[in-house]
Amino acid sequence: MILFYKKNTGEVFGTIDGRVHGEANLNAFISPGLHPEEIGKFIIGWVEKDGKRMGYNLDKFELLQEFESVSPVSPLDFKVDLESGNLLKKDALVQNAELKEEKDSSDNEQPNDDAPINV
Amino acid sequence: MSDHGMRISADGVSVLTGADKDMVVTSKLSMLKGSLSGSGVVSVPQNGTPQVVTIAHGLPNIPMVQGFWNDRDGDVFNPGDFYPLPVYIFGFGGTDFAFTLEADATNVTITFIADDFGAGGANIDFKYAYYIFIDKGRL
Repeated sequence: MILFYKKNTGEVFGTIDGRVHGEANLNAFISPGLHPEEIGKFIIGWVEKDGKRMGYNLDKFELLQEFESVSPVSPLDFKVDLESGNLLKKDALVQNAELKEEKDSSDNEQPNDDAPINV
Repeated sequence: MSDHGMRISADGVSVLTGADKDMVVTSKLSMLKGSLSGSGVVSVPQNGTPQVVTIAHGLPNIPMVQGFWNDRDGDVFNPGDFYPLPVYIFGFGGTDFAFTLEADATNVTITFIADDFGAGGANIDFKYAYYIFIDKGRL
């Protein structure tokens, strides 16, 4: 499956189905009015070129099977995390951002005068 | 699997050596000889501005295409239902909707228009699914 995402937000906005993608699939392109340079591709499966297959993001293969099944799990509810390049559910990204925010705010808290000082 | 079967080729294509996808009829494959398919989501404002999705199909011909749409979050329509494309202008809940689906030699284009005539409704996220058939839609 080829997932198309917005490079500025990581949001997945379109897909091409399939596990093995030949030239026809790779030449296909989805755009909701964006320039090609604003669009990223995240491939789960294999790319076939000159009779050879190269795997991409095969650690996400079980997720791909969920996308293909009648389960309510949709690739359109996912985002590419722009920092890690990983594919995450949007809810998980929000949770990660909240955890990071909590951590940042606790890191920025004023030091406790009673706390031991290591020199 | 037997090598026996029937093939009919178009004028100018060898029935002996032509590719299966270039046959007018071949008993080797079903009449629809495979497709490029997928899905997407687009955020549509309710101010009448068309939201255009283009899918560059990469085929050397104008393909047949089939599409469906769905109101992903159930803002207006039941999110459990998919409806066929295109949709001619119809009104629902004070908003007019028109969705088109067309193909040319380069792109399949899906256009979504929603207009609530100044009521200021929020954007609606429409999900779509498409099936682009390898068969020639126009010779």
